Amino acid sequence: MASKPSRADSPGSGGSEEQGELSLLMERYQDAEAEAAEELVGRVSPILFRFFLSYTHDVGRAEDLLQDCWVRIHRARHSFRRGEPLMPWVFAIARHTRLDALRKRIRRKSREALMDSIPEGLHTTEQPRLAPRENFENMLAELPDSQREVIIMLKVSGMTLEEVARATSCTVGSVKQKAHRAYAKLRRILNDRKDDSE
Amino acid sequence: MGNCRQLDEFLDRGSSGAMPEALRLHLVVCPRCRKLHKAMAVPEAEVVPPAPLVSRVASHLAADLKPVTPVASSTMAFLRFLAVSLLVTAALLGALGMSAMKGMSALQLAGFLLLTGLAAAALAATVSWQISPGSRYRWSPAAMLGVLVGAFLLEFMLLFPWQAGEGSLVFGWKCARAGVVFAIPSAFLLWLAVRRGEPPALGTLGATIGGAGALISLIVLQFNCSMHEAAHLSVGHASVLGAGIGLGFLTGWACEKLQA
Repeated sequence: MASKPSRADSPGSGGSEEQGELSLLMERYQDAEAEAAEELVGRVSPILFRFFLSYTHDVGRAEDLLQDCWVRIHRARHSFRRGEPLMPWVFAIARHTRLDALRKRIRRKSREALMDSIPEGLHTTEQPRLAPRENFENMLAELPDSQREVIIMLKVSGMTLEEVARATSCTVGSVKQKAHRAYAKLRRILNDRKDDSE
Repeated sequence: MGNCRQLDEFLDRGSSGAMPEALRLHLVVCPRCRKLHKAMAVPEAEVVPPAPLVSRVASHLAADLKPVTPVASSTMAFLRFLAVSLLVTAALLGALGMSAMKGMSALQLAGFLLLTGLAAAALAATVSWQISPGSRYRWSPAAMLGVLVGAFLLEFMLLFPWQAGEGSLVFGWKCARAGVVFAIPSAFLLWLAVRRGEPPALGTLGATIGGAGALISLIVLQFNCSMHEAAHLSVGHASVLGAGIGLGFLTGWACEKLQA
């Protein structure tokens, strides 16, 4: 397991050289430059994949979400404002991709629950799953979705408070409040875990 | 010595930079913060998507490339929205007149115009952020709409006399109904000005545009209805704002459901 890149190097961080390069690639993508599109997909996909995987812990579903997200990014590429940071724009779309997929999944599950029996052959094949890491993903699962989202964007995606605020269409103050509430809850959860070694 | 809040601030910055000495000392004495810091410091796994998937996505996008014109900058979107609002208001006032303006005192007129101007600017700014994902929000759209309705109610109650006559509520209902009739086409015209955007939440954008349409309607009512008393204005005029916001939200929410 390699260590996380530092925040200054992460494409999720604001004001870095990487951010500027990605924004320029996006502008070239808007101008229909195929090379820029390919490079952008290559550089942004790992960040998006990690974001989706941190929610699903399911490689297959994370791949589906990644593809769906790129379709949406492609359709909405005109809505990127030149000169603005790219990653908050990308994450705003990724966030909605995830939420829409979640709603669809809930609807599908509720429909399936109404069916008495399903023939064995109709079950989908199991996708490989990643075991959630103790002490972090398990704890995050106990947080309300809005707080969990903020912590994932801050920690997993390496975004700044400002970028998370932009991606979630909130004010910086609101994001900070959610993060601090999440830390308080995580402290309680960790404290309640007697078996947790320090 | 540091405290738990300082750890929160440190984590907000992604634990980047050197940890202050005071915070280091705090972690020694506070087991809860120590555990949280340790859990948050666990490095992320470097997972990457399969290369064939990435190249498939890239080639799909490359195959469907056409140049697109980016949405206007937030300043341009703000000015455009204000200009359309002004044009629609001018057209409605030109057609219906401003006969009741004479009935307002200088203070009432100044107060109303000041609040209307501020409300229009706040609505235009909020719309300009909402049409492009990843924009910087300086305030919450929902809170702003609540404050807007409250501010108009307060202004009507403070600046206009309380003489609730018998016809006040009956006429209030008539004004509210007329206000909603004006607000709907106004909101539609405003929507045309921002339809190229890609709002992350259609319900919120609908509520904001509905509020802007209702604000235009409120101006028309204020300059055409001679019943300038607090009870009538609160029931008949300010309620148009609430109705516009509510209808706009429902329309946006329904569109979002249809898209899903």
